[in-house]
Amino acid sequence: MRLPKLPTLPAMPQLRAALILGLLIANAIYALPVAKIKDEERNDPAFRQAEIDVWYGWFGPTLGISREKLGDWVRAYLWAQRQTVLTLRAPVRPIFDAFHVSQQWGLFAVVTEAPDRLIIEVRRNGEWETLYRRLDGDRDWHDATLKYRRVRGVWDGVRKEPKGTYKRLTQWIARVIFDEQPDVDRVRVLLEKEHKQLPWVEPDPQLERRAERYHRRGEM
Amino acid sequence: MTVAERLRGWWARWVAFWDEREHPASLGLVRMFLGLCWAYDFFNIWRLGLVIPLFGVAEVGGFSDALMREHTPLFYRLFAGTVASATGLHLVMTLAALCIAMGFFTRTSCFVLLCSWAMFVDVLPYADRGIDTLSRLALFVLMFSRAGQYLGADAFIRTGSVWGDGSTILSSPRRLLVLQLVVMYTGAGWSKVGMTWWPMGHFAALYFALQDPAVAAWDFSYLRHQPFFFFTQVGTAVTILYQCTYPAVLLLMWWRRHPEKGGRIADFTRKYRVEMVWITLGFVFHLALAATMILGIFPWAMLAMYPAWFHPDELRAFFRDVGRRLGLRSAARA
Repeated sequence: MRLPKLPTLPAMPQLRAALILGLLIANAIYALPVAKIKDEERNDPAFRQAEIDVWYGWFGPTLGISREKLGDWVRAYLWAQRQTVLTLRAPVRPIFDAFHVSQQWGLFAVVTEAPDRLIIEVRRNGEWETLYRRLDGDRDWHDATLKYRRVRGVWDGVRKEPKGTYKRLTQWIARVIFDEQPDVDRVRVLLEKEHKQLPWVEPDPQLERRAERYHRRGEM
Repeated sequence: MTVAERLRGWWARWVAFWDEREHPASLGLVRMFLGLCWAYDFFNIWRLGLVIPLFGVAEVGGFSDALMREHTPLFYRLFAGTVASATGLHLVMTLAALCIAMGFFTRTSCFVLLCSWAMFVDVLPYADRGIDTLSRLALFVLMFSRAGQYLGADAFIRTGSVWGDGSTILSSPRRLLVLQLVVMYTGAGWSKVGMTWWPMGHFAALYFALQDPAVAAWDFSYLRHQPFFFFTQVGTAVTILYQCTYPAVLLLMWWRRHPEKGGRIADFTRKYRVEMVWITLGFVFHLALAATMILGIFPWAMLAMYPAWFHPDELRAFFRDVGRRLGLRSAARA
């Protein structure tokens, strides 16, 4: 079965080349980094002080300016860079926002040295026990689900004050446990932060428990 | 030559470059492999019992606060916040991904998946990772291509054979995907500002990444000991080097296209196909990621785009050679 080919417009190659040029320019603009500086930080001398001190150590004597002046210049430059890129993005921003696309590829840009480990503890017959501890072969309840990248996106990198999405994740975990294990009456979900060290540095045994959420059977 | 004549010449070459055509084999393979990765990922969501948690709103047991926000996401403005809506969105995405893998109404399927995927991100932004962004960008390109004209139902409908009839398609979608890969690797390299990627941080990034229980596939605590730590340092250094220098691949490909340019250095790179160093390193890098980290479809979807690196004539010659060696008639026909 052969379907007829659609006729091609004579100006099609020109139009296509123009569209591709526009597409490439728009994506190139979206590949430009945007300086992370807020409006209230524009005149804040404490903004990135440590980094500015390093730069001043390198270039301050050559430039012959004060540390404060260099700080002013850096903040002014970062603000101008940010505003310029955002202005350039403005015409195509609705499309990029609507389809949630970008050309910013910060993949493992900064690797954490204090990672979190997801922990689930349950109370059974009055005794607390660990049901899940990531990478612990003996405590791997629903490991495939909890390590799935989209679920990890909800709990990994949660800040000190967990947001609602994390809270709903812990509620869901508790609901599943209560459904599956009738002898469990309490569920505790938390993140355990461990400070990893380079091989020649003594390991830090301290574990920080945070983002703890507590659920009781009957409350759910 | 005047500036206007020079500009006209550049524009004519630009138009001609994007108007070139080629066999659909490379793009067809990218489409099929990407479609399979996406379909697997959506199927996996169902297998893990995560359809409602990920696609549903809090009111029906989902993680999303979509109905509590000031601006309700488009999907939940169009559909009620019910289990059926969440299931429906997931089903549409899964079917669209399957259609793309099969090359069935490819362009429409790409459009449907792109729109539904964007709606899904609105519902639960935390569930969206880098590979999802890259996938949507790839969908944008595939949506305007005839990627279904090889190894697809579209090819069968049009020609009576899944292999198609050998009609050429535009090279531009494949070239845009190549450009996208270069931008992604380069961007990933240049944005690695963390000290541990660099000598002053002892090239310890890979070591620390593999100590992170959130992403490590296994317990890698033994990496504290030598020579394992040294191996991770080598891995970190190679990663940063090949990603930061990725734009060189475009220059090498340009030299291959223009044998008269570049002098002796270009002759050397053409003779030994030096760009394969970056492509092979990327291939090995993704296989290593797949073996050591839990990043879902990331390494596989990246590898799914690798056929784009090769001109279809090269791929077809390779398939014919393999087919002849194995005595496969279908591969030899490709």
